[in-house]
Amino acid sequence: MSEMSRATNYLLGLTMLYYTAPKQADRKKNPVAWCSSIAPVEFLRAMDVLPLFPENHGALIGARKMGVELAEAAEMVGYANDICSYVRVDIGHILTGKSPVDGLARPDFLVCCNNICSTVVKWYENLAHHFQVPLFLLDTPFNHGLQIPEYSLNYVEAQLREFIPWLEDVTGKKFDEQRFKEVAMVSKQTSSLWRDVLELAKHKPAPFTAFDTFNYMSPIVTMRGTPEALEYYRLLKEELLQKVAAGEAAVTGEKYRLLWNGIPVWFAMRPMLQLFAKYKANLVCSTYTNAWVLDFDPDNLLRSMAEAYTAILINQSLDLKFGNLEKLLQEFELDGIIHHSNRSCKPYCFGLYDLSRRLQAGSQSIPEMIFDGDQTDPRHFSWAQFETRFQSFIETLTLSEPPNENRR
Amino acid sequence: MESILQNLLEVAASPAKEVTDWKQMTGGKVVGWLPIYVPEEIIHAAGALPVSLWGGSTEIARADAHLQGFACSVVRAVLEYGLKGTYSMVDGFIFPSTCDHIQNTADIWAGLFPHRPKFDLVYPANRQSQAARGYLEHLFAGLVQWLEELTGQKVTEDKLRGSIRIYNQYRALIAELYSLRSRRPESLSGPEMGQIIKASFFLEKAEFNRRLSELLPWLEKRKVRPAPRVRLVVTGIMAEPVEVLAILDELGGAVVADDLALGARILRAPVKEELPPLAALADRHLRLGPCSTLYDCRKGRGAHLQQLVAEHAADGVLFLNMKFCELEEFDYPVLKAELEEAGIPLLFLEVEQQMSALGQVRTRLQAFLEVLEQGVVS
Ligand code: SF4
Ligand code: SF4
Repeated sequence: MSEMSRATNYLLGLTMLYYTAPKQADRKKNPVAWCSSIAPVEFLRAMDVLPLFPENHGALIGARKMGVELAEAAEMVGYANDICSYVRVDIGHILTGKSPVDGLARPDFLVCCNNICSTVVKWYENLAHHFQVPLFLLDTPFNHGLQIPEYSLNYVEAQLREFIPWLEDVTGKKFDEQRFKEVAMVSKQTSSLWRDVLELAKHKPAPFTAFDTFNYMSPIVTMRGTPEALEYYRLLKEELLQKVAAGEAAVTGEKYRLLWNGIPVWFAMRPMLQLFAKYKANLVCSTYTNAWVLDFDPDNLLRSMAEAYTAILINQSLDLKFGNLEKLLQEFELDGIIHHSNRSCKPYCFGLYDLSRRLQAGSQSIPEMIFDGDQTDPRHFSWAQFETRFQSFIETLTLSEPPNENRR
Repeated sequence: MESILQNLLEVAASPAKEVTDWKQMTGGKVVGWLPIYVPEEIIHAAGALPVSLWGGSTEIARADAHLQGFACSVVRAVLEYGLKGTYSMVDGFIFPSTCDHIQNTADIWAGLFPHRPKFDLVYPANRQSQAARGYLEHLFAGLVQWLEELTGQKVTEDKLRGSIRIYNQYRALIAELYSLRSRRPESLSGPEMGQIIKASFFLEKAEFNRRLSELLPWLEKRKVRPAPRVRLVVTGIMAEPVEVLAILDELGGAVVADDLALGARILRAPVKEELPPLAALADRHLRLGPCSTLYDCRKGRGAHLQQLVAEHAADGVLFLNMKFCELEEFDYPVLKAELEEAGIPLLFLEVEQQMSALGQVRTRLQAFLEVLEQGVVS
């Protein structure tokens, strides 16, 4: 690519703004909060709080290959190597001040939602202790069934109501309900544009790869609820639609359409992309990026938020995770699945083996590959193992022809 | 008296036999629960026998097909036992939302054993919320209903009150045992102490209470070893493998107080008998802690350990880390800094249930005790 697209340009600006604004902020007007990755930021945005996301920062640290150095700094003070690498690199960055973006601005308070794991609860406890700042925990009980029980939702909704006076207290500002509704609607629209973007990969050939979406996703995570994020996805969708219309393919001669189940291996994206392209394989979707599609009902805002934040896939039963995979297989006309058995992310990957077994036993049995890795810590990943597994996976795919084009 | 103690040790060594015998004798149902907090009182009130399923030192073979090697050894062992039929006498299973390891294992379990009754005890993690109490009462009411279906018995308020009384007695007796251990460590060996507590997790509690209350006066006079040269507080999920405690004894050390999940953490905080039973059980859950598995933004565990050290005139703290238990591992760096500042020696020792080679453990314990002894002498 010679010339940078408008959307890409816009994204660069947004990222810059996201990291620098908290550093320059007048904390009285714009307090800074560190948040777990799928926390209800709509409340914060409505009060002009600037949220920062250590997980997102961790991904960047991984991508810039600073993972080992920072993880080791945390291990030095007693953080076990078993602990999620996002945590270790975050603690490492706090201790050393090192980061690809000159670090995250110090938090005035913390917001943690356990809809992704129990790890974040412990992580934020330790952050609260380290920074000596207040912490709000939004607890979204795990759903082992097919439907989230009403009494769970009552409890989550009650906590959202408690969140408001808590925020007023720590920020010293008044909560403006009208403003909150507006932010929530912007967030909803942004989510829905994000879904539209992801679904454009249903086109054959797909105009982008899931690797691209790992970059596209940053504003939906970090700036959800702002007009800027909304604008970005509007621009992005427009550009991608043009690519679709022009029949542009992200992988020339797309032959295999694959799903990525797990968090990316941030430090190995480029070689993976190249390896996949060599075999004309494209990752067309991932269970990861889908997590930030949140839908709210303006007429029943808090209840629907309680539901949306509880219903995050990683917080659901294996049955629902399986159902989601089956749905994606159909909708994206997939040929194979790559599962990331991630040393860091226990809730994402305990149960993977059974998920895979169920798929093999089901009506849509397709080739799968499972590899051992980690999103940020290269010491838990072997490129040689990955490459070998991928090659035999591709062989299986070749054998299980007819390839996608002829199937319809 | 010796025979009562012997019997308790046997129960701990082969709980399956004890549980099977109970079942044959009473015709009742057996309900297994995973760590850590489960209101056993409700199970007891339903006429069932609550038994703890905390893994064990089995070789992992079948479970590897379902759980990665970086799942903690407790859930791997539980799954292994489930798959090889060790739990055949267990009629129902309770999986609390203690950690991601158990939570995900619960779903794997459901897929493997769809016809075995199971209850997911998903606790409110935000116990500060005004809504937590209501949520808990709802949750426990659901547990009552599940147990009634399983046992065919009605869980009446009277029965609940009776069971709560028995469990409060149980906790009081254990508190006496704990106090004895601190006052007269020579009464019991380390493994004996661990095994008595373990036995209590498999015996019907009224029966256990009877035995322990007979045993206590005898233990007051018993002497199985010299007074320890080094007194320790042990913290962690559980003191297993039990050989670790034997090594500690051999080296002249003794645990005089614990902050173990399978120990003091679940045995503290009596239930308030004046409240309606389910509300009282919910109330107890809201008061539990500090514990690595219960959200605590103040990180109160360090202060608690310092208090234990002071109260029990301990020389140091032993952090027994169950490998891969993130919840515990997160507390460690915080504790480490706090105890260092307070001048309390701390040893981090990593264990796994399926651990066979304990040479390393011995070496590290020995070095730690030597340092402590010098400190004690000078
Ligand atoms: S354990 Fe998984 S979900 Fe939790 S912070 Fe780490 S990567 Fe994110
Ligand atoms: S040892 Fe830790 S990780 Fe394992 S089951 Fe217990 S609480 Fe969970």
